[in-house]
Amino acid sequence: MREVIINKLSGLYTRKSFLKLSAATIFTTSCYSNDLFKYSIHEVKGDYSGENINIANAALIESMYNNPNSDFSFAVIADSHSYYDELRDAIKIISMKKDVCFVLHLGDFADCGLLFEYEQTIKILEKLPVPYVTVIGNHDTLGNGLKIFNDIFGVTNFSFQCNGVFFIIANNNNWESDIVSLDEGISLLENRQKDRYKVIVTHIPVLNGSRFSERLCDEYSEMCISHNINLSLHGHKHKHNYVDNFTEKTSMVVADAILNRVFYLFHVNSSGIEFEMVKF
Amino acid sequence: MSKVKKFIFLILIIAYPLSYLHSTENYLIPDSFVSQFAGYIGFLSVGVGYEINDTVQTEFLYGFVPSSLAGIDIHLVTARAIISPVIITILPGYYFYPLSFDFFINYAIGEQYHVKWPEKYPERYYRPNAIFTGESLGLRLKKEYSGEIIKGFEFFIDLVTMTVFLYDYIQNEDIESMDIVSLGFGTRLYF
Repeated sequence: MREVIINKLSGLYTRKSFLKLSAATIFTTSCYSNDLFKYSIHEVKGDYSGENINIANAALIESMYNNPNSDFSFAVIADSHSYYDELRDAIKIISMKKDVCFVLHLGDFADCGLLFEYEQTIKILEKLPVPYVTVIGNHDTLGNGLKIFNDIFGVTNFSFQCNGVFFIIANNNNWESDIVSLDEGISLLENRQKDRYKVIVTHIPVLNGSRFSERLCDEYSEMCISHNINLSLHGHKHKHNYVDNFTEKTSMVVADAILNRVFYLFHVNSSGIEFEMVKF
Repeated sequence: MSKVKKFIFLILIIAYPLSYLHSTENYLIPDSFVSQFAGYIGFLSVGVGYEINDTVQTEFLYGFVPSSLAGIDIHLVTARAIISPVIITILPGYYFYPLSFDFFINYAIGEQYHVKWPEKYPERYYRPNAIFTGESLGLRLKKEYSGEIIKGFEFFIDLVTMTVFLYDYIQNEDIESMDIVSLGFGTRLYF
């Protein structure tokens, strides 16, 4: 009887069934393995899918820094594209600055809106000891980029507070996202009379040029005036530009790109919002 | 759809002189049927191949990735050249190709991918994001048959990368090699 059972069991492990089992195991494993087998450069689903990083980190900033009278600093980086080594170097320096509460990436961490580019950037940013939030840049929207951004970071337009300062993060990539009005951004500003300062952060500076119509530029300036916006913060140009009197109440900073080995430190205190450029 | 037609037309223009080079008289009839798993040209891709000479062949494949794996359905058309300069006869009728170099052009079908960007963008504002190129290095094992229809069967395995990833890898110290490569394997049926 024992021999019969052993024979039956060994029958299960004949060469053929072993090969079939191995092939099935390899196939099933490979279908769900991101490391060995990749199917397309255009994939959307990746290692950070569903993490809602921006929304989670914005909530973290609000919970950590909720004293409306307290001074604080935040770091700003822009347009890293595929310059991952430069981004890594900046992150290393920022990580050593003890007074930085959070880091803002002003967008364009991709060239073609590829998942690979998103993941390489996040691998570096997640080494920060403080929370970070990202703005979507025009390059980040390309191809399936907007889907990837939503999948990893959450919605593109959101707001948060840090020690009484109100930050609006918005997608203003008008060509790529077919944006024709600022209604969504304006709606975030309703009932915000008690904030110490207000900061609008978008990737592209809303200035006259080929991208934005005169009507949209005027609408943006009026919004800054009527809602007492203190700082309008952008990237995109790969060149530093500071406009002290963008409106009578608003200063505009267009940040230089990280690929030019520059990042910014913004200091919030009772006299206003000041910034310094850090070259590395 | 017109973009797809344009691309198929382009492929045919490329394929015509290449297929003319291959040895048989019926130069439009393919020499092989190829199927592949993974390797940046689809979860599963199928296509036809033309042997130009003993060491060079071209292939045209259609690949698909379902949304359950990629997050969206992806349709890809790939044209590739395969160069296998070293052929080792293991046994009569069994051939081993220890160095198989592939170069491929990958076209993604979908309205979010562009060869030429819409006119609202200035000239050369963005690079075409419908077309990417890739390279691979692989091994091939082929068995010849003397049948009427089937002339041979081959198994191959490739280590594949995309040129844009390779460029980033060379430019940046911290990118891990596993992030820029994929294995791909498949079979060829020769007739």
